[in-house]
Amino acid sequence: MKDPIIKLENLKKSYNHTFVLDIPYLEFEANKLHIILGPNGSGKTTLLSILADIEKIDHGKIYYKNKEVDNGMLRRKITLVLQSPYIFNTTVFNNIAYGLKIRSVAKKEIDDKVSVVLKKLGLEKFTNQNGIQLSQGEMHKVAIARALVIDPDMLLLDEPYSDLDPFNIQLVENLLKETKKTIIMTTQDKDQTHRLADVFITIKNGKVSYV
Amino acid sequence: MGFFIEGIKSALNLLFSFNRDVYSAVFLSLRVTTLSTLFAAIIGVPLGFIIGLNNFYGKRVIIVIFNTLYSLPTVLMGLFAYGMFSRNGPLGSLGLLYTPQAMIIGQTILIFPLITALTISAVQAIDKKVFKTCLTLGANYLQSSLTAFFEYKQLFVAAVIAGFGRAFGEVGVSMMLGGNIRGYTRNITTSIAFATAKGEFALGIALGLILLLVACLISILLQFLQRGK
Ligand SMILES: Nc1ncnc2c1ncn2[C@@H]1O[C@H](COP(=O)(O)OP(=O)(O)O)[C@@H](O)[C@H]1O
Ligand SMILES: [Mg+2]
Repeated sequence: MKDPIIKLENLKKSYNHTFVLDIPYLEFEANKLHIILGPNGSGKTTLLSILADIEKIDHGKIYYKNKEVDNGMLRRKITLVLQSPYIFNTTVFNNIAYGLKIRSVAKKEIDDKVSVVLKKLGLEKFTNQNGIQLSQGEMHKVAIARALVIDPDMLLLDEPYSDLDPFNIQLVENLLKETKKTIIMTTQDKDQTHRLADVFITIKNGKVSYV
Repeated sequence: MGFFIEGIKSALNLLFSFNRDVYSAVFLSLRVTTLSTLFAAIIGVPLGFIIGLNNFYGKRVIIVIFNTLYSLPTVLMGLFAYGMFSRNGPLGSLGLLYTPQAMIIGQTILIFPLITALTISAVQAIDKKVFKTCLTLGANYLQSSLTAFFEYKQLFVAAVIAGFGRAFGEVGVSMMLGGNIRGYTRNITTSIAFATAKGEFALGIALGLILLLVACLISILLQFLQRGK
């Protein structure tokens, strides 16, 4: 295997003194689409939160492009779309522009980039509507748009399909395939994994295995 | 019953004839309480935000202290503040006793614990997903906190309005620090106490109606803000 973009060594994570993740070694390849399949409570969300650097680990090391990761270092490189996304109480446009504003991108550039992703996800008609008035599936698409627009090195998606109908699943899948980024996605649905995954990982009770 | 009807009639008369005693008290109350609320908000909101967001040793004790302070009787706070400003007190040399400034400072001390305590509980009501979302989109800790603050702004505005309400209706601090000097430190509540003691019920009722009006406005506003979230 080539140099992995990110790898985990001897990673352990517990909540209230019970281990929820125990991973001796795990790596993810650059520009591949990884799918992590596992039942409820197996540790998928915890693993993605650790990779996105919003959850601390008890033990272990994380390397990003062969450099050991420090707290907060990855947040501008990796983005995570939460399992049930939080939508800011403002317009869809402002929701999607958030990450760009944080990065002090020029207004003109923000306008251009946001309109591109709005179009890709078929959200143009909601541009000026308040995000919290949307349906669950529309909100999820806003969250995906909000992540795509910042063009991260790695895109993490936690069960992105749970709120989407078949049409929108297809739409998002096509987008993911065309981005050619490093993507890590979790799911409980075995069928999806076969049509989409470059790399296929299963997780059960906090332990992972490749298939 | 006749007593009250007569009183309300003369009270309305005072209100609509723009009686000087009535309006100087109203304007003083508005000025003093607006400023004290402003200062208390400047202290209490950031303080409550910092306490609420961080986990540290002794946090619970601090929350208990603020909750106790905000439910203390106003005369007790008045007594404490009087001690500070009286000639021999630590701030006695400022010569502020029996001035509107002393009332402002006293009310600030009175209500900042309330604003702090309500801000702390507002912060604890923030959905943790807000911080996670901001962080994953590249915001730092401060930017995430600011976003969370604006997402829940109604709750913080409500905390400040509740502070205004407590200061506007209190009598202990105003009486002890202001001294109830006519046309200078006599506000709505001290006027009512004084007028009633002298048997001038019409003046008391006129000012009471204004207090009632302000209390109604505040509770409508709070209701409205609560519904917003
Ligand atoms: N904040 C938390 N506090 C305590 N336990 C948690 C917390 N988050 C997750 N867990 C537990 O960790 C385990 C893995 O959870 P999670 O990663 O959310 O699983 P999945 O996403 O695969 O459903 C579960 O048993 C869950 O109850
Ligand atoms: Mg999950």
